[in-house]
Order: sequence, then structure tokens, then C-alpha cells
Amino acid sequence: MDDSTRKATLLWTSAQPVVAAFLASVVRDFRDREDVLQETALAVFRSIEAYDDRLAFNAWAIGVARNQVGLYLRRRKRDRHVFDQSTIACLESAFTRLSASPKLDYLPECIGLLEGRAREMCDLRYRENLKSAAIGERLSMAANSVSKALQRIREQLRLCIEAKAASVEAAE
Amino acid sequence: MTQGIKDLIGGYLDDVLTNDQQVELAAWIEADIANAEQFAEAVFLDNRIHAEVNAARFKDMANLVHPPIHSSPIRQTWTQIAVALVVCTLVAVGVVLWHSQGDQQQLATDGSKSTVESSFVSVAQIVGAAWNEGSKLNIGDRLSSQTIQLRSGFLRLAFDDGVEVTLQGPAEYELIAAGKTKLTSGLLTATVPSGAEGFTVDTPTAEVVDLGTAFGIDIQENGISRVSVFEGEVEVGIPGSTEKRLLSEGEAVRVGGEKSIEAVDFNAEPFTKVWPVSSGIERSTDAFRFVPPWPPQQRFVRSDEDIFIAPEGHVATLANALRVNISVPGNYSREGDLTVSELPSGQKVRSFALFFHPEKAGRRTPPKEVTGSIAFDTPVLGLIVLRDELQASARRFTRNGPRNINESQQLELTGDNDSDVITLSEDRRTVTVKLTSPARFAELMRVIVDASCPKPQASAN
Repeated sequence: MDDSTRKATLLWTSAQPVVAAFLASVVRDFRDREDVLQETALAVFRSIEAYDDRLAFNAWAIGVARNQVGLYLRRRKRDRHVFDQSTIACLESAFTRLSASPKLDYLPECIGLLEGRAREMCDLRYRENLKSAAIGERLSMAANSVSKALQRIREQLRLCIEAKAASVEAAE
Repeated sequence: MTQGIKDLIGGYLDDVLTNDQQVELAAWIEADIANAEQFAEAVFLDNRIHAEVNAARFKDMANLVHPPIHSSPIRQTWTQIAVALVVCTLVAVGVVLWHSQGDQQQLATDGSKSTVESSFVSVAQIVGAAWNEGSKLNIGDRLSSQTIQLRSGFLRLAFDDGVEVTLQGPAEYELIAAGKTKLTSGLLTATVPSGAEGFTVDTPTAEVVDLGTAFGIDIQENGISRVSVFEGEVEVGIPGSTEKRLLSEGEAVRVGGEKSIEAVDFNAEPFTKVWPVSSGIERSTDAFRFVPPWPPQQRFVRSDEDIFIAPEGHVATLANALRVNISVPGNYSREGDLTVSELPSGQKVRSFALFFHPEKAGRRTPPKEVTGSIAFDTPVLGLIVLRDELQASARRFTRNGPRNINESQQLELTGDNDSDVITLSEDRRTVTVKLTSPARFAELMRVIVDASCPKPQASAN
């Protein structure tokens, strides 16, 4: 592996979660999002020599991602993302400042604590990538009710992560 | 962040927002960079959940792929992603087939027997019950699809997913499948913990879907269903109709024969007898007084002679170990004699707050002594009586979170004649408290009770 590729691989591995989340915030269709993420990864590797080490890599990579969003959607003649350019610009700034909290390391354990219908809903939403309406049909619920239930599950996971992190801190 | 904004963000993540709501969300994001950062964190967590849920699948993918020595990392990435997509498709198809088979097994075809008889609920408590012929149940019985006919008294059911339903007879209640039930007559309360949202109770005139966490249904003599929400949100619909209504805490509706959903004044009175049973309290004596969970009123109840006991939330599974100050039966009047222990993570528990709230604090002639006992229908795992542990545990069990407790606002365990005394009975079911000269508000203790699935009892009720 040459130095350039090695450098890109290391930097991209670190930045990928934040870039993926930025794309998730502006491209709502799951398949489109996966395509744009792959295109972004390719663009990052192709243009790594143009990256200025004095800039934060995350910010640069998110900028590449934003360009890819525009390119991809113009090519596919779709306008599936919800926000206009000014909102996307705000989100670009926000995600540039974002860094993955170590507390999220507890997320797999907290997901493992989900049981019954919560686990079922989690799998339908995140493993099968079903929309709320489709989940509602499966579970005989309205789409809004499914969204409410998923909100509570996400909040339950967030509180679980916080509790585990606080417990470890207290023990130390 | 307001609940309204949380709803907008959640709705965006789940693709249920209207155009107007999307515009509202965008305006909020642009209003302040801090808002944009909060939105970014929510999306990041959502994305991370997606990644972790699928992590097991990608671990299998990594074992399948052996990248060639001279292959570029991009080609490797593409290969890995391509393999992952194939694996994902196969797994997704398998999951859909599994769900279809599971639905066929769970749904009853004739209303009484399911294709595969798998139980999904336990009888947790029975109080003063009389049964219709052939309907008798015992504590610890495991139930599958069947109809319960309670002529009088109270029955509490514990579903495997954490839902608890308490019936007040006379009542007829059909267990159709896990998560789906029907109340034909009578009164019930239900608590639906996080993770069990979607629990459904049908009535002759309504369909009630709980979105978390507590509600009551009372079927009146004329067949009208009255649905009251104590906590969280509930969706009420009419069978055969697309009309649905979302109810929040403190709201109530009637659903009648004219197939209409009508808002009514909230009235907790019909549920006052069932609440102690639904909370897991068997009986109380002397000074103890039960505080109903609705309307929230802990701040407002006052008495110079009573010790109040209030259930805190619903059955919870401890995410982390919980430190308690008393874990062994006995009498305790001295702090040095406390039997400190930790309840393990994974334990299912129910929490109760005991407090004293006199009519007038600091009165010149406080009562000499206040004594009472409270008995629970499952064993007490531990008592929390010291300030540090009370504040720490409040974070877990109360809606409002911890508040500062002064030393004067806790039990006085000095070991002398004026000491307060706590007794945990040998069978771990009864807590007795003797307060000596209580003069001011005191957050006495938190009682942690076992909420595991009940085991069958040898004796009949």
C-alpha cells in the first residue's frame, strides 16, 4: 500500500461515521445514501493529495460529501433531500464540530438489553430498513405511533448509554 | 430541547413529517448553531444504532472476504460491500420469512386455542377474587391465548415483555396474543414500559394502542368504553374505521355505539381501588397511606399522622448495579448496623418512595411517634435510606431526577431512644417504620422490590 492510500485509509476510517451521519441528515433514502457514501469514499481517496493537513480532515471530508450529494442527485434527477442549501450549510458546520463520544461504545450492550417488541421494532427499522408506515402495517399501528415508539426506544438507548458511562466514571 | 422539537427530529428520522413540519424543523436548525448541533447528535446516534444493529451481519461478511494481495483498497471495499449486500439480502429475506411464521403461530384462529400453545403472561397477584365456573387461576400460572372471567376482586397479570395489566372484577378479558388483548367488560389499568410500546387492548367499541406508559379503560354499563391516560401517550381508534386519536397524559375519551371518539373530563376516581394492587402493595397498616400514581400529587399530600408510600414509575430492569443500605431482614436503628449491598444489573425491580410530609413543618408540638407497616406481594430486595444513595437512585427512578436532600430530611438512625427504627421482616415482604418526633418533611427511604416473573405457589388463593 503506498503512503497516499495508507494516509487516506487511516483518515477516512476515523471520519467515516461522522460523514455517514451528515449524509443521513440530508439524504433520507437509505439506498441513495449508501450510494453517495461510496461515491464520497472514492472521491476522498482520489483527491487525498489535495487535502491540506492544516485543516481538520472531518471538515474536508464533509465538504467532499456535500459536493457528492449535489452531484449524485443532479445525475439521478431526484430531489429527495428535504433541506435547502442554507440548512445544509448549517448542518455541514454542525457535523464538522461533531466527534464520536466514547460513551457510544456502550451502545451494543444497551441494544442487547432491548427485549420483545422494542427489539422487534429496532430490527424492523434498522436491520430491514423499513419505513414507519411499513412497520405499522406489520404491527397494526399507525405510522405516527410507530415513530413515537421508536423515539422512546432511542431515548431509552441514550439513557442507558449515559447510565453505563456514569457508572464507570463513579467506579473510577 | 422541547418535546415538540424532539417530536420533529424523531419524525424526520422516521420519515413521517409533513411538509410544514419539515419547514419548521429546518427553521429551527438554522435559528442557532446549537440547534444544528443537537440535530446532528440525534442523527449521529440514529446512524450509530443502525450500524450496531447490523454489526453482526458485517462480522460474518469479514470472514467471507479474503482480499487478494495486489488488490487496491477501493476494490476491496467494493468487494466487501458487494458481499455484504448479498448477505444482507439473504438475511433480510430470512427475517421476513421468520416473522411470517411467527405471526402465524401467535395469532389465534378460533379465539381460544393457538396453533402453537406458547404462554406469554404470568398471574402475578390475586386479591379477594371470585371466579366464574372453571375460570379459577392461581399466582404463578402461565397463560397463553384464553379468556379470563373474574367475577369479583382483583387480578394482576405480568406479560413477558414487561407489560402489567390489573383487572377489577367483574371483568372479562381475552388474551389473544402477546401484545394483543380484548377487554369485553370491566375495568383495567395497564402499564407499558419502554420497549413494549404497541400493546393493544380492544373493547367492544374501541381499539387502544399504548405508546408508553400507563392508561386505564373502564367499560360502562351501557357498553361505552372510557379510556384515560395516566402517563405517556395512547392511540385510540374505532374498529373498522381509520379514525384514530392520540391521547396524552391527563386526557380521557369515550368511545360509544355511535362510532365516535369524544373527549371527556379526566376522572381518576374509578381506578382508586385497583392502583394499590397494580402497584404490588398487598396491605398497609396504621400510619401508611398509599399515594395514587395519578394525578401526580406527591408535592401536595400532607398529614401529621401518615407515612406516604408512592410507587415510582413501573417495572424497570437495572442497567447497572444498584447500591442499597439495607439488604438483610432485621431491625435497624443505628447507621453503623446497616447491611450495605448491591443489587445486580439485569434485575427487574419496582421502586417505592416513602416520605413524611406534615401539615405544618417545624411545629412546636410534633407528634410523639408515627408507626406503620406496609406489605408487598413480592420480596423486598433492599432499602435505600441514606442521603447519597437516595439522591443517586432518584436519578434512576423518578421523573424529575435527583434533588438535594438535607441531612435533616432523612431518617435519624442514631441508635439512642429517640432513633427512628426500620424493620424488614424475615420473609422480606413487610417493612415497618417507626418515626420518633417527626417535625418536618422527610424523604424516608426508597423500597426496591423484586419484579421478576412470579413463580407458581403451592397453595390456592
